[in-house]
Amino acid sequence: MNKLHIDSVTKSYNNKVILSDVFISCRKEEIIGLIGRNGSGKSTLLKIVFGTEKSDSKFVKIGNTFIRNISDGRNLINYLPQDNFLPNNISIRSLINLFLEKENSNVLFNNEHIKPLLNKKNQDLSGGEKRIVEILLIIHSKAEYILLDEPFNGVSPIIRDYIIEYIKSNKSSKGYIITDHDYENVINLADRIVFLQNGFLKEIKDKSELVELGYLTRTAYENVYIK
Amino acid sequence: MLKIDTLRLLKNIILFQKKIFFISYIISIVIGILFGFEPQTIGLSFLFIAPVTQYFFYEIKNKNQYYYYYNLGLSNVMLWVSTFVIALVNFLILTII
Repeated sequence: MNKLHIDSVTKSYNNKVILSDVFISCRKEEIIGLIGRNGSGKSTLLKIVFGTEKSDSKFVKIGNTFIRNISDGRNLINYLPQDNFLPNNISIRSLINLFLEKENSNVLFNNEHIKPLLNKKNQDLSGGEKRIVEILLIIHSKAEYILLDEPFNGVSPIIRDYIIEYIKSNKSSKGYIITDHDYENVINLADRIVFLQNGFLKEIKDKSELVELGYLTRTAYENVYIK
Repeated sequence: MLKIDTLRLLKNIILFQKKIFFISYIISIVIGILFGFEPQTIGLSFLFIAPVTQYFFYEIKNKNQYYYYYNLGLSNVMLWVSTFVIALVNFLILTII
C-alpha cells in the first residue's frame, strides 16, 4: 500500500519559523484532521506538500515516488485550495469531462447535486455550488492522496453534512488530509488529529489537550464534548 | 490509456491557451494594421503579447485558476512553455506565408 510520507518540512519567512521539521504520515483509507489557529501555517504546509509553495527543506514520498514538484505528484496527490479555482466561460459538464477520466465523470454526471449544474458555467454558480463541484472533482480525480484546505468554506450546513458523508463513503481508496476552521466537523470526520502550533506538529490523543494547547476555550470544549 | 491521458492534458492546455490566444490575437492584428498589415508583424507582435496576456490574465487577475491545471499535473513552467511554443509556431507560420 502506497503511504504518504511527509518529513523534515521546514519553512521560515522573514526570520520567523513557520514550520519546523514537520512530520506526518497518512495511509489510504485514513483521514487526518489538521487543525491550528489562524496563521499557524496549515495552508502553507499543504501547499508545500502539493508542491506550489517553496520550503527550506522537505521530504515528501508516496510509495517509492518522491514528490518534489507538481509534475511528480501527478495522479498521486491533489489539493483543494481555499478559494475557488475552476476556469470560467466553460460549462460544468465540459470541465468534468476535461478534468476526470470517463468512468469518474459518469459518477459526477449522475450526482444529485451536480446534475442541475451541468449546463451552467462556473461564473454562474453560487459560492456553495462552486465548492461542491470542486470538492467532488478533486475527490474523484486519480490522485491517491487528497489535501483539502477549508472544504466547508462557504457551504450551507446541509451541503457540509453531505460533503462529510461523501468523504467518509469515498475513503476506501484514498487518504485525506483536511484542514478547516470548522473544527467540530474536522474532528468528527478525522481518524487522527494533528495540531499545528508555533511551527511544530503535535498529534492529539485526547480532545481535552486542545484546551491545554489554547485552541479551544474550556467552555467551548465542555459545550461540544461533555454533555 | 497513456494516449487518452495525454489527449486530456492537451485539451486542458488548449483550455488554458484559449483566453490568451483570442485576446493576444486581436491586439496583434490591431498592431499589424497600424504597421502595414504584414503577417510577420502580426506574428512578431503575438510573440511578445501572448506572454504579457498570460501574465495579466493568470498571474495578476486569476492566479487561483492555476490550481485547476496544477491538479492535472501541469506546472507553471509547463504552462509558460506552452504559451511560448504556440507564439513561436504562430510566428513561424506567418513568416512562411
